[in-house]
Amino acid sequence: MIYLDNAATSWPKPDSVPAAMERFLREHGANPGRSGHALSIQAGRVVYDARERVARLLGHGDPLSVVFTKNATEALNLALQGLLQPGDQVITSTMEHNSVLRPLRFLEGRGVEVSRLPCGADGSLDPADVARSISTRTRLVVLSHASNVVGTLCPIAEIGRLTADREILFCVDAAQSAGAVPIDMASLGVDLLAFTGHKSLYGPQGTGGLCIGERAKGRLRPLLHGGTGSASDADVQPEFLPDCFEAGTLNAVGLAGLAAGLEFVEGRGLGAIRAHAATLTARLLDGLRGIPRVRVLGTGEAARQTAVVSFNLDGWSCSEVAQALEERAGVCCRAGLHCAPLAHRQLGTFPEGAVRFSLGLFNTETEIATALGALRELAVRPKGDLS
Amino acid sequence: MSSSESPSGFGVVLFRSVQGALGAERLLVAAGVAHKLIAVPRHLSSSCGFCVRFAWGDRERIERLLPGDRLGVEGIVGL
Repeated sequence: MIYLDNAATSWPKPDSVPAAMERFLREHGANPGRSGHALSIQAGRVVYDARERVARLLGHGDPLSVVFTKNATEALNLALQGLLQPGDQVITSTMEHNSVLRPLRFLEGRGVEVSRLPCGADGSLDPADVARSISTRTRLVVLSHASNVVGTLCPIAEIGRLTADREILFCVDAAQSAGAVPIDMASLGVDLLAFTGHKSLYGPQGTGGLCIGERAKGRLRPLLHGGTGSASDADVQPEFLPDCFEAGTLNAVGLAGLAAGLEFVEGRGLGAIRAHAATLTARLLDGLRGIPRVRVLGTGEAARQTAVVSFNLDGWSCSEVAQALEERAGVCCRAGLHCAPLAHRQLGTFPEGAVRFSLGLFNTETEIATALGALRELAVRPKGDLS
Repeated sequence: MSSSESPSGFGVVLFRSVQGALGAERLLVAAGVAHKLIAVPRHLSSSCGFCVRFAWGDRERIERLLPGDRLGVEGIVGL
């Protein structure tokens, strides 16, 4: 089996991740932050360790303003629904995932003006287009750091400079980039950074969060209200971080796994991780270009993207290709629209979609060669012949 | 909340949230200051979690070490 669906969730996980989760459940699986006994304190330490590691990896100075959520979608909803008011303008792009598009569509129905900037044929966004769209009502710019369809990287440093000097917050969806690409939130001018734990941070599903920068503090309304273990004499939500956005018991066992995933990423080093991804991506792109009737989407340059490559094979639907690759070579990949309908419109692949190979740290050049070989065998068959 | 006396020889640092107490623990371990996380004394705070207990003689050092605003220190109280 060759797993090429790491943009959906990374697999396998480092052995230390399930080990940390088992250890948490067996040895100190109490409720973090609700009691004063030894097990609760130790559970709290595990969660705090995850906070510190997230803050360190993402260049975010304050672990207490790392808010844990169940995924990047919840973090993005907190940023968008927590900030935007009727009459505000928000700037985004057509390359976004539905985790941004759908909350914005919802808010549009409540009087928020949404500017969706078109991107180039390779999925790239021109910062000048962002600058031209800024108005006196612009409250927020929200963009994905890396496309989940084609991996194209967004020039967030340039856009951060546009928003830093204005009363405009900058929110980055780092679901596809946290752990895959070096990120220094402070120097990039990012005010809100949403991440997921189960992709390039190698943690389990059900973990994610929002890093809240200095300029964004005190400006978001919580999505959830409830128990935090703090200020328990009051029946209103506390206003301090991270408690104000962490009502209810946290997924502490998941965060134990996330901390182990983060430790793994730190140990490998982002430089080595990025180099491995670039090598495999370049190998994959080169191989795809040599197969007849294959059309590769995106930049075609490993240096300008993450290890996410989408393509179509002329004559077959993307789902037929994915099915055939699994049956012939055990390749697990994702076909379809990847929860990014506007991106596929932009790329000219709507509504059919595309086949996506997304690579992770445990993939090898041999696996890439095998997947390419299986695709080559399909491509030389007459159109529609899947026998 | 603060006090200047400690009949027991111990004091506690109270925090808005256990997250602050855990952040303080990291700093105190790094600085080599003896301390213990204990359940919040009910007569001092309504928080459900824990706080930092320390030897009262280390009070000034602890005040210097812990960034009160960032960690959400609610008070230093003698026990």
